[in-house]
Amino acid sequence: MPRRHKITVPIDTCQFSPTQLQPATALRFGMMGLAGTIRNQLVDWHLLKTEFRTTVVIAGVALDYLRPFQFFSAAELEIDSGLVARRGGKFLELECRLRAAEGEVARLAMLTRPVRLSGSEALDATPTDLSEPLLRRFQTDERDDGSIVRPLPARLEGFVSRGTLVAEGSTSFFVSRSDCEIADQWQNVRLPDWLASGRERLILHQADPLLTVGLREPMTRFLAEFRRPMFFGDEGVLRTRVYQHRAILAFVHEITCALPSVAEARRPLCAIGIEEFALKN
Amino acid sequence: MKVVFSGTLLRFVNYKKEVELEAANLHECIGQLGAQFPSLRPVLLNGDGGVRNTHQLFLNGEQVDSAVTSNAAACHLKGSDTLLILTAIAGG
Repeated sequence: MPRRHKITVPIDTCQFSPTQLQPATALRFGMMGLAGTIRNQLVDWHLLKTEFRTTVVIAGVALDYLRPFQFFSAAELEIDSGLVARRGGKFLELECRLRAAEGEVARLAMLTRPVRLSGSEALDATPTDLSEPLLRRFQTDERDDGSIVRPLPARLEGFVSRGTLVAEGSTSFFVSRSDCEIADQWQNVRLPDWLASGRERLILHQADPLLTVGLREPMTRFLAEFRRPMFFGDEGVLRTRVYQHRAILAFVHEITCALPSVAEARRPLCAIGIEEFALKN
Repeated sequence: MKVVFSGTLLRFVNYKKEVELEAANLHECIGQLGAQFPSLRPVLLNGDGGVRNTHQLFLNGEQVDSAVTSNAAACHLKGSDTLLILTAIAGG
């Protein structure tokens, strides 16, 4: 069990939709947990950058909602986080539990990849393994050299190969500086908002009663993998396909970047996300 | 020819997404960009004057191999070319 970093945050109305804690809010809480655990278990994040020329970027997230939880459910939430070094420091994984008075309401796993900063003002970087001096700061029970867990590929394969495609659509968006972090690179925690925009637009446009579960019911699971970052000023293209598989309606999203002069077929894939909703009989 | 910038590099070229210039080859092109935007030079180039491996170049939509960027003078350019320069990943 990794050392825990716990903070309590007051609930506010902007953190919720009518049905649940917004996934983007949960991911933002995860970022707070990540900053806290990096500080707790490694070193202050700014020193990680300036002294060790290292930082982390998010490679994947898995958010599971464990019970109904709305704005009126509680006055505060506890963010309980721990960080594990996986595969010799090739990955750092945040385990984050969001807890209210009645118990755990959501669980978030955030897989991050260490990167080595070039040292230039642009904060450009290349993937790296965590250096030995940093890796040594993890306790024995905070290091795991086994395989990493990537729930998205198997889940995606299940929906595509065994589910029924019920709708699809696409939309585009602009990456504003307010969507980005200090290197003008997209904030990964903004992804749920872009995906939600594609889902909601599709549902309202198609007026299919089956699809409206994606607005009426709370999301049960959110999965995402990040393949390539987008940056301030980029144009993103979001393609959404909706699958029904057993009692789940899954909105499967792909984001590509519309790079100038690069043909549509060769646009780089930037992120894949899945939003799952439970169908009720 | 046209040079297009993306993302984190924009602030080092005064937020000009597109720059028109005349260059016979990639080496000349990069040299002109460095002269026109002095703050871009240390960001784009490493200590040997080559393009840092943290950036990617696309010439007319095709990614330029790092072997080509390391021998930039041999990469000939023409007026109708479009060169896209972007940062592959940043550690923000």
